Amino acid sequence: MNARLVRLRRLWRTTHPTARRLMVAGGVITGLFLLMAVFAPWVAPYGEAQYRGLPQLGRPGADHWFGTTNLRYDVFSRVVFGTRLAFQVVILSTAVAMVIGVPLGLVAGYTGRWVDRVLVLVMDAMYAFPSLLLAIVAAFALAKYVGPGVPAAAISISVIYVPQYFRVVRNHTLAVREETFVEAARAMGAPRRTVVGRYVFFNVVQSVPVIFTVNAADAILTLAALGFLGYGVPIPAAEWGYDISRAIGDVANGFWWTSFFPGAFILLLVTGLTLLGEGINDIINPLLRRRGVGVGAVAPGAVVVERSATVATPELDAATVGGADSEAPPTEAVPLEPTPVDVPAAAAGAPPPPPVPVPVPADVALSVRDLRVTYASARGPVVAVDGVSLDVRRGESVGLVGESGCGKSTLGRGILGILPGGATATGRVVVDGVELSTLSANERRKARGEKVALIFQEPMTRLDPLQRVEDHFVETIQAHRPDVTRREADAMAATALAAMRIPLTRARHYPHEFSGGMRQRIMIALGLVLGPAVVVADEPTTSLDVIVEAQILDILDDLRRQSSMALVLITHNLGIVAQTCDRLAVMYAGHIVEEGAVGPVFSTPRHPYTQGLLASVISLDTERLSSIPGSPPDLLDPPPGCRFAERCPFAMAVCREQVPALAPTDDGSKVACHLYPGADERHSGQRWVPVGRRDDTHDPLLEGALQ
Amino acid sequence: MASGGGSLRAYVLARLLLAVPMLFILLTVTFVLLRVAPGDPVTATLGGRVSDARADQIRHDLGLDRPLWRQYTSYLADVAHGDFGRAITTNRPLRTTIADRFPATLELTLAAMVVAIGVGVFVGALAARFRDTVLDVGGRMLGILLYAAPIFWLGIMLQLLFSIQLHWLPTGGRIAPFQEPRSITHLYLVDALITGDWAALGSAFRYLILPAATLGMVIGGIFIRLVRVNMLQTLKSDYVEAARARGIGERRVLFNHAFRNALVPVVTIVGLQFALLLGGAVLTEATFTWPGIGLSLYQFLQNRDYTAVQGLVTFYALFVVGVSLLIDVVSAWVDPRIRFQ
Repeated sequence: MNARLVRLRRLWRTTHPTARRLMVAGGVITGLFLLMAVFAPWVAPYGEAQYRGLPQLGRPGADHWFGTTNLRYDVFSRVVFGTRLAFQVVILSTAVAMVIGVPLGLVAGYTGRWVDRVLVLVMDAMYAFPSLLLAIVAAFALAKYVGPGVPAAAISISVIYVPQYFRVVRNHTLAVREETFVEAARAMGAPRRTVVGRYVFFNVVQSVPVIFTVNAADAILTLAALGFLGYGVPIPAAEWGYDISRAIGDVANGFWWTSFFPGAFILLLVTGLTLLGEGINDIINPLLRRRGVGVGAVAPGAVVVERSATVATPELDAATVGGADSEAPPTEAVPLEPTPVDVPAAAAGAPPPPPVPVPVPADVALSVRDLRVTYASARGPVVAVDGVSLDVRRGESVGLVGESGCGKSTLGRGILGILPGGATATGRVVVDGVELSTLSANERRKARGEKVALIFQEPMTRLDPLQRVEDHFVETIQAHRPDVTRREADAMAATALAAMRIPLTRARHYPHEFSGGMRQRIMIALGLVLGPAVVVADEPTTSLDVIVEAQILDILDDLRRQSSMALVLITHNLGIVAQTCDRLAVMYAGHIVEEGAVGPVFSTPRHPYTQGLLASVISLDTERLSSIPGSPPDLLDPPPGCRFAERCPFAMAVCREQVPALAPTDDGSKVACHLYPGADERHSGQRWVPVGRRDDTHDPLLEGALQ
Repeated sequence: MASGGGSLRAYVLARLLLAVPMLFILLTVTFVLLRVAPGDPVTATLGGRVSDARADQIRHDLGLDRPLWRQYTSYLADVAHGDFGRAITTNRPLRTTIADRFPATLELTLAAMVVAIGVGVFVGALAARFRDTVLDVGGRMLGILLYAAPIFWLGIMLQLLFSIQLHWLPTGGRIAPFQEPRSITHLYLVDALITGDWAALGSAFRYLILPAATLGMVIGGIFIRLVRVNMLQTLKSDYVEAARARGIGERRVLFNHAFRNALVPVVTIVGLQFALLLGGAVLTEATFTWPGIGLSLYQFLQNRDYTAVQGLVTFYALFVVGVSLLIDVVSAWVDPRIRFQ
């Protein structure tokens, strides 16, 4: 329970401040109304049906704040007592709806088959019918048995909400019925019904606050409508809708107050409840989703993955636990310890030095200098790409590798300048001799597609489902070259598609009519139709099968050679890099940690992270699976030194204090690691002895990497 | 890979088959609640106001003296023939009541839908585009306030302002006396346009403004939220990002990709909201004495006429099922993906 509260508090903090303010306003309004309902006899100056001695149709004033009615009632008192009646009906109708809907939902979900089908049909039919008419029919049918009053009104209204409770309970029951953990619990002796019941109970209890507030708002409106139509709770009880219907005659004579105030109270209370309900929904829904999915669909798979990972690398886990943690205290590095002022500066990511315009050689198609991308998250700024520099020559292909979340895709988007809202980028991006970072928004937009194209990972969702394939091409071409006619654009599209071996007859089809591989070929054709100098391909084959993957890579490789376009291939698959790329850059936690030609880097990887990545590649010769223990650091608060230090088997004291610089090596590669000279800009040429370096004759990381 | 036409037909057929059990359930529920539950509808409606002999006669005329299962089967058979029974109080067949008054309801609901979509799409799209700004908060608050206003109260307040205080618009009715255009479609606005009867057009329009605005604004409140949420989703979608990556202009990205895709689910929801619109129409018609089916229902409810209410509710059931079918077909036509599911 405590953990749940903590989680709720965290979710509360991650919501937008405006949303929070609106929810608080809703809560305050609802709370005030609730107080008014409870203390109605004390708040109201007169009784709900008291008329003796009061003026007829008295104007609002000091004696009667909201005036009096034709029947000499005090409007303010009527309205206050109306609040009480509204809450009574809301609570009673919800209770009735739950009493009917919940058991029906349990039965339908648990029994399944025809019972379920019939109940679902009936509930769907009821749900489709206008809710007000449903309530009227119920009230009308009830009128013979139950005299008008709160119970009759509440039962009539509850009919509307039965299908909702039914649906929620049924869906949760159905979802959990076949789950493996139910079987597991049963195998351990727990009655299946108890397990299902408990799961459903906890899930439904979480949805109840949202359903309740939404239904309460709706119930108040329905009650008023019933009252207006003459099937609500009549005089002497005070009901807002009924009072408004009685006041219609007053309106024609200009007596506005008898109808205005009851309606204004409905408006206020329903607004308050809706704001509150939406707020609760915003906060609880992510929680629900996480629980629902976690327990229902993902968890079993996730457990398997986790298990196989731990089985595969028991030595590694043991090694890091024993090694990395125990070698933490720095001993020999004392003289080099940076001054305390330096540490926070490095941690906060000190502002980059102002970009010095460097002339870009003509054969360099893409030049990125000190690119830094910052996302604004609810907990603070996250520097996802931290001062990355990269050059790609014409006709060259560079692989960008690293684990998920290392900033590879952000780098790709940063190059194009299509970062999501709230993200900011600094640094220079020069494409085909044009510095994108200095262009106006519109010029920059024109450069996208024309000079640099981005091919995405997931081809299935990247085409607009409502547009024919052909229209995507025409749109793209005309966005850059407005003079091109539709016919010319069609011809260009045909050429581009033909190059990707998509038959011309398919141009008029919709995206959903293509397979994943075809869609990716279409996306590539779309990216290349304007002949860009640089293509950034962000995991273009991850979601495709192996044969299609080979096709796509061949296509990209051919294009690069034929049209001397530069290719940045973002991937986590080192096999693809070895096969397709000339050079590679290894990214870790927003930094490039190693860069060089594919041959040297693969044969003699320098950075321990690169070594780890290469060691975890599985081939036919693999005898032992290997992986890098741990996970990348939280970029919200990155460690002050080398970001890989926590996971590095060779970490030294200096690694935890100072960010290593990317320095050239003797074979033309570059590496950012304190194990090699040049990493420490202030003491270049010095070599550091690892502090806590283990006896690494049996280190699987090294064995795998250096084979 | 079939092309659109054939599979659209198959889809419509499948939807038709699904509509049958739904209609059957609604009719059965109507029969049970309004015919079986009240016991004897003649006594329930007329009470002691007629002699026993006369009551027996009415019972016999309406077939209410037969066994219930016979009444049930003939009820279903009658509905299949478009016969909705007779009102006890007026002794008129409901078919004529519906025929007389349905066009007015249709005119009102269509006009209200135009208002609702106008308000909802405009404000909702604007709020999504300028997310978390003043515009967004204002749009959302407007949506909530419009939804939270009781329809009849909003109508009365508008009457108070525009009819009684300002004398700009009439308080109720459908058209000024003796101004009715020649009947062709029975929708006054359309008929007046076709016949070129400008006086009738002006009058019909003046009478329509307040009821359509009242009903439309309340439904529009829901549309604001819907359009906003959908548009927020499409703005974050992969294809919108891909369009930006291709250098498509921002305006085109907004309208052709985000906005168009955001409207697809709205079409479906319009169908669901049509049910709400019908319920709201009863209240609006009662408020503005708009001579539609809702006003008839209101009057029959006041008179506790059980057979009449049963007949009208049956008609509503048919109408709701028909509209949801129509909406499904329209969404399949708008969104080619639906046909293939």
